[in-house]
Amino acid sequence: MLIFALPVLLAAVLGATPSGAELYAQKCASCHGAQQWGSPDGPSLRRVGLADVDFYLSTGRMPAAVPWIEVEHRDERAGQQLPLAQIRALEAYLAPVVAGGPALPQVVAGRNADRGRELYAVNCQQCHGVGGTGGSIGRADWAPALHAATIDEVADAVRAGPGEMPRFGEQQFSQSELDDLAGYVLLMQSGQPGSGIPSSSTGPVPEGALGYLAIVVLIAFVFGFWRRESGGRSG
Amino acid sequence: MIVRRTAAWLDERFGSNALLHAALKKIYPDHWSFYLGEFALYFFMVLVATGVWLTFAFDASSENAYVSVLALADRHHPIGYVIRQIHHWAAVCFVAAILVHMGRIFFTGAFRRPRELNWMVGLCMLALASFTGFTGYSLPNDGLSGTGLRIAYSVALSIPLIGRWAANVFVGGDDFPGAQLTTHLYTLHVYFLPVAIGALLGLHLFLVIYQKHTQFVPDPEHVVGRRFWPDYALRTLAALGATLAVLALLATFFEINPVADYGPYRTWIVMNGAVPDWYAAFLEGALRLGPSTELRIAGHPIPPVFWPGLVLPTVTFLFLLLWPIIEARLTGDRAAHDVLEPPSRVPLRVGVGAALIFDGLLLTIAAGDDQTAATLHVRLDTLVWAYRILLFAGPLLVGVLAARIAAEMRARVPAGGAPPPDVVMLVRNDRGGYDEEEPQAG
Repeated sequence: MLIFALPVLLAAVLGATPSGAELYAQKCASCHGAQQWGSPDGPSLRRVGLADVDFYLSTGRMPAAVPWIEVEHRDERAGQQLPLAQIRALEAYLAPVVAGGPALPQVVAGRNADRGRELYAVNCQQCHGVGGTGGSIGRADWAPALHAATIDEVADAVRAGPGEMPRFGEQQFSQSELDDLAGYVLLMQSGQPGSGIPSSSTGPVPEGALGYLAIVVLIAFVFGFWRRESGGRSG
Repeated sequence: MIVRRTAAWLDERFGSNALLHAALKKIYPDHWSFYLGEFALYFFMVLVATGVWLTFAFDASSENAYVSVLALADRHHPIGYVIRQIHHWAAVCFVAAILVHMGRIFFTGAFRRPRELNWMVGLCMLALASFTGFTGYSLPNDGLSGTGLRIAYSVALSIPLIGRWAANVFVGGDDFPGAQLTTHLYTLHVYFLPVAIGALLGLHLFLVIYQKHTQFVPDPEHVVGRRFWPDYALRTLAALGATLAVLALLATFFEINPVADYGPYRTWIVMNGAVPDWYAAFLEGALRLGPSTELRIAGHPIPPVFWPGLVLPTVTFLFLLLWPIIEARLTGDRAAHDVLEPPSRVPLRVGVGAALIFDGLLLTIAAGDDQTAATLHVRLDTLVWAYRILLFAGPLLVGVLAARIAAEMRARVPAGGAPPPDVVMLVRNDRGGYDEEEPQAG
């Protein structure tokens, strides 16, 4: 371990990116195995696809800082967020091993917001909620909020289907549909009118709370003039 | 001049001046909390006014309902956007105002003899208002309300013996959503329910005027307050103005029920975080916390949604409806009361009220348990069990605590009911100094 760690430390001091093999040995091998076949602590990475690897690395879920958090709480960005150069180095190193699963998707923000909204409503909203708020699925798991997701992460997740999420291949989403979906997620995050995030309300119950606040304002109003006129007497 | 002539013209034909005179000089007791019911009245008036407008713009067929609301939900619509916003905000505030008003009546004992009937009329209006709100919320046929209707349909199906028949008659078909669902909702929302509320409202106000309003002034013989004209009329007009202003602000700055984001209702889509408007959310919470075992009585299955979805609200409603009688029986106080009490006078009432508020709030919060679990990163299962335990332990704890506090507060106020007056009489004594005159009890 030390032998592997030394070059990484040296590289960090010198400001250079350690090689993918070195990173894998230091950050991943203890759970996923030296030959990527997995171990009792972590699944095999063989043929999982580069989209899957990219999703876990770029969202900061992997490498796990505290493994049980990663395993129990899938949406927790609790891992060690690697710098982009190191992610790319790891991916280059793992590419031949993970090949066979969903490939790394290319995505640009599409402009057809109506189609994006429709796709989101039919395929994503059930778990990720209106406006990408996230929510529980089943009794013990949940779909993460999408407020901080980049379109590359969205595309990775759509193609790779991490955790409980289904995999959406080319049969379900064509490339241009994926683009429009990603564009809609961006629009949702911007909070523009009609974009999916209700501009100032997050659902009927918070709306109700605001209604009560309005009643409180009205009470304050009548209390104000009643108190001034009656000198504050309660009789 | 015009007013004077009109009054004279009417008086010559109907002899109306005597009545008008009596109405204008009638005395109404004054207290800030007496305006709560008026807020509810003004919200209802706004609802009727904006609702009439919306009937012209809304297409009450299942196919076109969503599209017609979508046009109104667009900010570029010249007037429809703001009218729909005000209508929905007024609905949210209407039920809230009724509930706060009801809380005031409850905790000050205004429902006691001789006003039990008016309490019951008010409670029926609360139920009708919630039902009107739910039918209105369901009209746009969007993804959110469609999910709510699907749940309501399932609850209706669970009624023993007549469930399937009743549910299918309502949706107008053997399956959900039936062809006539939107039409039936529309009829209820636009004709039947508002007219029923209006009729009960007339009775409610008539009873308030006929039986006279209660007051805090501890004088059971006289009504102490302000004349209707000009004192009270101008104040209530100010309350109306404030109500309109608050609605205008809400409608301007807060987008409500963004149907475009929810999308049209499709039977195969149920989304996370789907909850009804706040006044029905406690039912959703009850369904989420309710048991999942199906009972069989004489071979007939009773689906689990029957208990939280129908039995719970019915029992709660009946309990509140009969509360004036229950309380009279428990406390033995069957006398007529025109003078209100400070809430702490009857610890039993305070305890029961606090327990009910706690459970109502808990069930409302439980309606969003999936969102809460995801936000707090707790397992949904854990949260549901925590809520279930709180649902029974919480009201006991809160109720007993509130009753204790009320009992201690009551012990501090000298017997005789009235708190010490703010005005102190000073009497000059023999030595040239001043003594406080003892306040007279009663």
